Amino acid sequence: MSSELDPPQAGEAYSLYFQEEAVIRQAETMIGKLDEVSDGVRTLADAYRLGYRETARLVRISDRMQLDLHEANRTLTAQAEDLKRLNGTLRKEIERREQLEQELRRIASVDELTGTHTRRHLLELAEHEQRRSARHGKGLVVLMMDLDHFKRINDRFGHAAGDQLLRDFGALLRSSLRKGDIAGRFGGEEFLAVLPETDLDTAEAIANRLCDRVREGRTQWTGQFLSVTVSIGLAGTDGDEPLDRAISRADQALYEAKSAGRDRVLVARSGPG
Amino acid sequence: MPTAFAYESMDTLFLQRTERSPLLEFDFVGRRLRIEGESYPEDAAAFFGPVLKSLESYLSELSVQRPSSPLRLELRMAYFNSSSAKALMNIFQMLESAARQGVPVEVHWYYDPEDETMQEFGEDFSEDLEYARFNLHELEAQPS
Repeated sequence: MSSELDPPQAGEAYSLYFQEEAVIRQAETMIGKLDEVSDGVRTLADAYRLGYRETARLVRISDRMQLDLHEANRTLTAQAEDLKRLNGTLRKEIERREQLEQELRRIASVDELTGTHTRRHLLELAEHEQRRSARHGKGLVVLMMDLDHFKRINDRFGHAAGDQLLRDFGALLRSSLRKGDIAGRFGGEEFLAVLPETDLDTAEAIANRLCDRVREGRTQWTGQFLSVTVSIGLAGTDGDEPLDRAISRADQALYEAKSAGRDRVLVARSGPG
Repeated sequence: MPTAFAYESMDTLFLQRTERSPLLEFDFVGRRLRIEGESYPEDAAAFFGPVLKSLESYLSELSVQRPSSPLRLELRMAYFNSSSAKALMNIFQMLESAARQGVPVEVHWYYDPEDETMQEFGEDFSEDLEYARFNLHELEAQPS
């Protein structure tokens, strides 16, 4: 940068006051620059003020949006808590209903008095067993049982005594069968058992043993010992025979056992058809 | 806006917590300042203005006194809006400049361990402080 205080160049008129003039020129230049600086500072201040106003406005907008969000958030939190509470109540209600359902299912499937299956549940299980047997080509045996002269017990000792006999027979029946055998109360003093994958001889042996145990058994009733006998009709099926047909054949054998003097086991030897 | 229970004496500045403004307790004698709760006052300038003013005059006194034990600011914020953030930054700046002049200053930022936002805000604020000591603390779990 050339100094303003340089002596005049060749061709330029010489002045005695060149130095003073140079100082004036420099001072004038600097004044111009000062103006530039002050303009620059003014521009900066303006820009800063503008920026600051914008920031303040943005903060105000942001506050307002945050307020909305905060309130929405609080509403959501409250709603979430409500939902949680409702869910808890619902869960309890579901549990209660499931327990109720289980209880109902138990009531529907177990005969209260004898602890054996109810007729409906027994038939369901038996149908299932029959289908399984048919699939595997294996036979099953149906036992129809009826307590002999049961009406006399009821008439002489009352229904409570009859109930006690039924209870005891239920226990004997259950303990006489094997795991996987199905037994249920078919109605009144009539019982049905289904013995899957069993041949007729085995089933007959089981039925005879039950018949013996019932005859030998005693039910204690208000200081007396009551006894009862059972008649049993058996029918075997090779798997293809529908269950109700096998049941009606066993029922026929039971009828024959009754006719032949009761307290015995009779096998329906004739096959299906 | 509910009227807050408040008093100001030579020794203490106390503002009770409201739905939209934090609890604020400045114990000038014990040199313990405390701000706690949620802060989104309707008029942040009106709420924080007097607070900033009394803090400023207190700090200028302290700059002369040069106490040996530190001035302690404890913050337990659950929520604050942008204007309150600006007010907090003003407070930090005032404390930082007092610290630069030789007043020992400690800032303690407490946050709920499940509140990541407040933790991050604390970390963010700490970056602006050089002379004032900034400490981050997890709040103890509240017994339910």
